[in-house]
Amino acid sequence: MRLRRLRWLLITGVGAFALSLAAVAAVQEEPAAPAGEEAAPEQEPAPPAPAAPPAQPSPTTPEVSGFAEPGACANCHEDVANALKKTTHGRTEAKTWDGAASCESCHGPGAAHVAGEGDKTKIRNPKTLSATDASALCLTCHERGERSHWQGSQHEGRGLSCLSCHKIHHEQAPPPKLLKEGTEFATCSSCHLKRKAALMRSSHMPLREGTMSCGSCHNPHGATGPSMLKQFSVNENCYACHAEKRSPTLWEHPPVRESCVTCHDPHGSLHPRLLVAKQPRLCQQCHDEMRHPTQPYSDASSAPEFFPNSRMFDRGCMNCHSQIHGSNHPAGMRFLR
Amino acid sequence: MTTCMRRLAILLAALIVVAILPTGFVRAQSEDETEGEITFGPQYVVEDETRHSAKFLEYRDVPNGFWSEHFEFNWRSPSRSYFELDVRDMVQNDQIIHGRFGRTDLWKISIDWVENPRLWTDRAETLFADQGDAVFTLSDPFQSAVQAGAANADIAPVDGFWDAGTKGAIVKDGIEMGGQEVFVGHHRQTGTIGFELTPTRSWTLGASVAREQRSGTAPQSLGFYFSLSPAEVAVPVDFRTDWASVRAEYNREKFNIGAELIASKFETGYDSLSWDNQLYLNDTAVTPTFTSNPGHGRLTLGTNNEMTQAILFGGVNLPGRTRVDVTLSRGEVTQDDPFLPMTVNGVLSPLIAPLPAVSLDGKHTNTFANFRIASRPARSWRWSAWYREQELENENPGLRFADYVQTDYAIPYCSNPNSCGATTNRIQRENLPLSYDKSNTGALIGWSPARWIDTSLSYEIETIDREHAAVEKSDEDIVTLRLDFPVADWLMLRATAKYQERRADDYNVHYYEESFPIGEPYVAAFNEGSRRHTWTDRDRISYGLMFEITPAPTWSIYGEASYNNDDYLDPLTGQDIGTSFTVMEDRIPDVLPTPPTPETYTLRLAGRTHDTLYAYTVGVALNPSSRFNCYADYTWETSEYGMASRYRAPTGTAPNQFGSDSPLDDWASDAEDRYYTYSFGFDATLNAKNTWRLNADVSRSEGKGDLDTTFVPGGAASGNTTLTAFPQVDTRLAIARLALTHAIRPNLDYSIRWWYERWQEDNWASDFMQPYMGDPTNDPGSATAIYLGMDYLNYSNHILSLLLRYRY
Repeated sequence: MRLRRLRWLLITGVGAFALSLAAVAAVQEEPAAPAGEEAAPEQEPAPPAPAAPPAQPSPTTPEVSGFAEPGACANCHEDVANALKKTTHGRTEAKTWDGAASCESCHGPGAAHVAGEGDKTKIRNPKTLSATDASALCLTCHERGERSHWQGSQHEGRGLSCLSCHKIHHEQAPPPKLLKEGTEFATCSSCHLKRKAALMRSSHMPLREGTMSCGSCHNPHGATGPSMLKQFSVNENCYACHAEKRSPTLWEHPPVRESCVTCHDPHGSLHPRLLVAKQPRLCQQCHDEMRHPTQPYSDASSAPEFFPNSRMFDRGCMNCHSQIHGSNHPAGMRFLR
Repeated sequence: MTTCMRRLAILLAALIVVAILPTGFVRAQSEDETEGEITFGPQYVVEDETRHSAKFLEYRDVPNGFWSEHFEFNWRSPSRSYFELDVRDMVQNDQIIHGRFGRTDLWKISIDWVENPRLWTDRAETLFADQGDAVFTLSDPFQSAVQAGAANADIAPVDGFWDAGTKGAIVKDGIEMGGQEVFVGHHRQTGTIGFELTPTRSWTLGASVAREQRSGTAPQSLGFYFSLSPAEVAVPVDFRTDWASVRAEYNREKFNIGAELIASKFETGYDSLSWDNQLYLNDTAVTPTFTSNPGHGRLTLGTNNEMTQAILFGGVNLPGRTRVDVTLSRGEVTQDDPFLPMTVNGVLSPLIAPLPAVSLDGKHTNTFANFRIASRPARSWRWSAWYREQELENENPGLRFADYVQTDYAIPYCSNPNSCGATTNRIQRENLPLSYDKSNTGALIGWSPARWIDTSLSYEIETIDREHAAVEKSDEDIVTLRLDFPVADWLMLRATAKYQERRADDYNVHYYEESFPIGEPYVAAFNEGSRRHTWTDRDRISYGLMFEITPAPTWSIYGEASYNNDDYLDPLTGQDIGTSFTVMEDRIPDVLPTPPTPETYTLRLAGRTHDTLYAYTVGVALNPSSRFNCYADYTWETSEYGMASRYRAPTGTAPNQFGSDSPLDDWASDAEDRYYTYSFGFDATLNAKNTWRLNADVSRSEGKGDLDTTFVPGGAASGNTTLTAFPQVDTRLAIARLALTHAIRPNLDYSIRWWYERWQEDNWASDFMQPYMGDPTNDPGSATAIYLGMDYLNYSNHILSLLLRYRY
């Protein structure tokens, strides 16, 4: 398969299709989904329905719409309201762009629900919404900062919503970030099972010990860099904690500058220092020049016991090439000084 | 006052504060809310011998005595002011403290403090005396004795030990009799203070400062010559990184825009390390000229640096559920520490030409740009397109050094008159600042024709342009197909198939000859077949599958499977790495004035041939009643890396010296790492009142690493005629935690916990007792080594604790 032959065909096709979709979107004005109703399957519902101002009470108007009286929700949902008070959601007085506040920020105007004596069809329940609609509710307020890149992100594309990881109403004391599983690691590893297993490896980052979390490196809400990293690149991510490695140096090792993960597996390894392979093979996969790099170095002895060569045990090649991340010494071109 | 007593005192003080704080706050304002939690009690490490295992305490502090696991305090006033404090592992070396106070919707100050230890080994011995300021010395009599000692030998009787009086025997005796224990480990502390102001619904203004400090020691290996006298010391670590940032963001319903400025400064307390050579007391001139056995050496440690970065970002929501995001960032990292002298060898330093500069004045400029448009114009359709670019402009000057000193030992000179005019000309070196520009452009179309299926297809092109690399331009086509089947609440399947094809332009193995303005071109051009896998052509195929099946509310099965395979190819010929073929060409074309002389030889494409990763997980979760749930899962993974190479001994004499190319010297190696991980856990409520609860988590992981090396049939790689298989690396970790909790009152409970952890490792690279001197007959390279002898001890620890948790 030679993809480059198809490249321009694919680009043209994808571009034309995207433009046609955009054109369709531009002429389609989507009707707002009434609160409490799910949108028709053919049509994506709009973000949270703009709420009308509270309707003036009128004896001739049997249908009640608009916002409920402040505190009305707690009359029936006292436990939920009390639990919510312990969170920022319960304390904030900020309103949505539609003017909704408190419970109605997410559940929509509640007057009809109140008037209907708790009629569940008259109130929006985010749990019953599609992933896109549920996230849109949250993004009404949260589409900024680290959540700016949710739309188009890997998680969004796989049908996850904010509620896949977060739980707004907790019966007990709310966990940090209102995470569904209590901790970041538990939340992430409920899907990423092999990452959970990798932390049991001998060489690992201190996630098991609780000093780091998945969020130390990744932004699950979407990011501008690869692999949903918090920083713009792999190396920038590593430099956030290992600032000593970012120095420009006189003699630089190209794979170090291009990507730390060429040699290190940040999720865990059998080998010291999170190395992806055992020394000396790790270095030999690139270094096949003349002289000692090309020796197999399996054993230095004719004795029946295994006698590792001095270039194999301990740090292997880096027993001598210790400044492998770069050297600023005038004589450090081979990272020996 | 002992550490234990100090901790106890601090802990008691904290408890008193806990008792007083709520009262004080409540009295101050009767409508205020205060709540919190404290978990504390005694903990006892049952096992005596291995409780201090550095592997067990590698990143944590496990107290043996009275401790507080968690403390939380929250205060909220009707005016929406608040104060929150969350402390884990109070007053321990791995404590984490988060503090927040402010007024909801208006301002917030956050204070964070995180500590963690990093232990490198359980045992380390050294002969070197730490003189401070990273200067390590050996005793003069010891150096003199080694210098005067006979050459290493194991003659009579041949018993596997260096003969008495030889250098190796003297070093070995010295370590055994005079080695001193040394601590290898450091401690990281990070403190952050942040301030955020939200004066209006739309504005968010923030600023933060942080300091990260690392202090202690770390292993540092050292060498002279070609490893004839390798050594290792515990180098002092004194790192300090300061960060400051300001950020402003303005957001409205349809858009947000913001900017952030970041500045950071890294400083190290030690810029160089000096150490004595165990083989010589003083710098000693030897024949030929320009060579001198060094009495000591010096190398550079980390350099100070400064970083600044400016980021602009924004997004806009367009009709048709379309969002456009743009992010731009430009930053600089600079470094201008003075150069160390070329050598500290007093015999050689007068012969060295002056350095071309007193410092590097180095600078990296990083530019990042990201543009993405994502749209869901209809329920069943979505699309997105993006462009991402990362550019490293390496503005380090290219400095030409008229000569250099190799490991404080010799000034290499040309020896090849064809390449540099005369054999007495010294080899020059020039640094090559690597720069690159990576971009990724792609588009995705998603289609969900029904509620039970969601599919997407994406296509990306990733290009890399480099300066000073064997491949200056490469591009990669990436096609990804994703299929998700949210069939029903009881069934979810996610599948991914990805194909990547990276193609590089011509591979130029001579690219770094410009680093040798004079001399060594034949070295640079030595291996025509060498192909670094990061620069070659590559075909990658990967598959992924995740599933969760819940046939009944009481149980579910879940799993994950992934497969990834890379095959590497030569950009010039398109052939697989590892392939051998006959060529006719001049192998050292730059050697002048000799005209090019084509010759026939066998060329093997050397480098990484392939890598393959498999990972599978399957698990089951049971929830038969509201009082009991459990889970069990098993993960097995395999990582394979293959490489092909050949031993190329320099043959002939200068100037026509180049490597042997006998196919019999070809060799290959396959590395395989396998992991098996089991987990099991349950949570049970033991009585109807929910006052007794038992839960457990058990996991076990085993990792095995093998290196297989093979020669061609009948082959015998030069210099290594006795191939012995590498022993298997084997690590095993088992963790079991069991807790029995009794709730005395809704806000008061206690738990009795048992925590068992066992770790074992067999690793030939570290399982040796210092001194390791290798095999006297065949390995003179390690005869005089002075390593730290670092190794983690296996451990098996039982920890019992009785913790009281009180919520107020």
